[in-house]
Amino acid sequence: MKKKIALLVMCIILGVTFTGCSAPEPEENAAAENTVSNTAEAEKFEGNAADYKVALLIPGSLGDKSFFDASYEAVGLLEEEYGMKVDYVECGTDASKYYPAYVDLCQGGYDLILTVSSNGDDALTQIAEEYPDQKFISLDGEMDDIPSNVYIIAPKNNEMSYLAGAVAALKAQELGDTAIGFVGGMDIPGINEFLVGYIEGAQQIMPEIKVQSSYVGSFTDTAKGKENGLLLYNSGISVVFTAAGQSGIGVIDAAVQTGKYVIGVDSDQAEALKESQPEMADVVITSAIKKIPQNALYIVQKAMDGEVNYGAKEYYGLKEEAVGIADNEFYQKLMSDENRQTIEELKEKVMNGEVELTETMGLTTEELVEIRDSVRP
Amino acid sequence: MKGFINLIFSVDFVYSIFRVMTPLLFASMGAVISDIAGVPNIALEGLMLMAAFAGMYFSYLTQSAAVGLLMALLIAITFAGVLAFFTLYYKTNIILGGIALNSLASGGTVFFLYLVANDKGTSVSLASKTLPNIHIPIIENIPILGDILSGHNILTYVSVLAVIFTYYLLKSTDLGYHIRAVGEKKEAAESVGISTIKTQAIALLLSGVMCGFGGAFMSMGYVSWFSRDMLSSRGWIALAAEAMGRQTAIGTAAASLLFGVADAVSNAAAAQGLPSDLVKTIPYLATLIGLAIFSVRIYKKQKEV
Repeated sequence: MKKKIALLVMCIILGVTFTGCSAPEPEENAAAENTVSNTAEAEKFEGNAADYKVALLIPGSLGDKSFFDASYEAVGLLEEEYGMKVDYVECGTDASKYYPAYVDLCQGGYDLILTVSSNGDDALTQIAEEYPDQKFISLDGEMDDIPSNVYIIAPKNNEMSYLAGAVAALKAQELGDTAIGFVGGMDIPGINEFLVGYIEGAQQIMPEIKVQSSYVGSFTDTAKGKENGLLLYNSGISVVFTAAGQSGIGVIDAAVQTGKYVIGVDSDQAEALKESQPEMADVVITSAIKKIPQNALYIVQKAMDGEVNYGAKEYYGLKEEAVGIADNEFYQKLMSDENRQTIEELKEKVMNGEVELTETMGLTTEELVEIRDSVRP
Repeated sequence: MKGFINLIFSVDFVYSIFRVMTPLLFASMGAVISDIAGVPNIALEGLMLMAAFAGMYFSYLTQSAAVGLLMALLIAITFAGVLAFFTLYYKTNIILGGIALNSLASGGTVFFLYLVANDKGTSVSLASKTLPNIHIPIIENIPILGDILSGHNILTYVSVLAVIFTYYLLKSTDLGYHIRAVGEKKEAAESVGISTIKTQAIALLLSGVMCGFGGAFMSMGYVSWFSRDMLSSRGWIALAAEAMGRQTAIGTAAASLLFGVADAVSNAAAAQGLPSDLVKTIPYLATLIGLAIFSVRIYKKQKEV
């Protein structure tokens, strides 16, 4: 008997910890299906925008003050702008949960299912084949073999990183440094896109600049992020660009501790930190940001108009205002007027094609290593 | 490469080894005590995670780092007690209990983090307190040595004390003898009147104390916030260190040092563009080689007899 009680309590403890993806209940009535009979080709949505049913599947965990939090902002913006109800599912890091979550959403009669990140690519490919009438849009993806009912927005990470690199080099120049730093989450193509753009931007300002790069090996180990940051700062570098998700907070802390500077990523990190950790916000010069919420607004409008080019991947850069750097009080405080003017000019040059950036999508490892090693101090 | 060598021999680098090693030392001492008592506590990771959260949250609530540390210890001891209760009183398998606690900690801390900070990643929105760094007088002023030994977080010094404590506990106290006897042969210990349940419970609670310190260091010393799964397997590495140190306090501390150095070197290697994944295998390779040599020696000895 006692054993049974013990077993029961242990089961309850275990049960509590299993947090699953819960999607809204599938609609019993077929009303939703009647209003929009989805076909493979894009179709204009006849009706009130508020009745357009959109869902967002997040293949990760919110609270990173960075990428996934930026995608979550899209939910609020869509609701505010169109008055539509956007359901979202936060799936965590367990990749086996993405597919069932997609199935739930597909059963829920949504006109459009949004997602972000390449984490859920496998599940998305599978589900898109099984539900050919369902439309999917990834707000930030890299997928190559795109099913006919999926549309991918591929942000030009290298363009915003290019500006981040220029900002870092200008700041380093001001402080009399000859090197800048980079802390990535992992040594993977998605992160190295940032590095390549960053290097090129910095070289635009100082052709001989050195860029020391380091990888945390995790997107969640903030303590290790701090170690990586401290190593770079202690070696005499004053500006570090971090593309490491949550681990990047550790780098910001390292900057505070050593009195140096950092450039954030994905979300406006200074803005996110200024209320609770003002001393951390004070060292974030700017952030290379993807305007995921604005992109969502734009693409959902196009989806309602039936103008989305499903089955394709399209690149969105500075020109489309899909990426950029955060222009806030900290940027204005930490960068001189003259330097900010230089950045604006560079931005113009990228937008009208005067500056050619290395194509980072599909860059081979050898090419990357060559670029990376050529600027190592 | 030259930059890498310079970095390895810099004061900052040696200083960082202590910082990296602190949570490992605490957790591995907890592992030693519980394992010697015959109740291997694999919930170190989870207990430290809970302690880290409690330390952050209560230091935020009370704006006192001391209260945070106290609550971190209390929470870790409480849950170590829960594990002891189920294992010793209800005879649950301790490995299953440990797994349950680890899962509970991983999900539960995020749940409570969301409740208090409305955030599922980090607690940076809560202004919690950190424990002070200690500058040792006199030593502080010695060049180089002072920079390496002085100015660490108070818990880093406590972690060294924890090793000494564990060493003396097991070597020359009655409780230590009891713990070893119970772990060696339960029936024999019982036959001379040692209460096995009581001894094993104390061992588990002591490992809870160690985890409390380790967790508090993570959120109130190493960094100044709690983040989801912030232990990042440090509790498991401590278990490996304990196995490598062959369940002795000093051996385990040495193994923790090795893991700490390897971790610090891999950080430095990563910053220099060397393949850090390769460097991270060093402690594990060393473990394999060490264990192989050790077993060969034992085998030869047995042959001679």
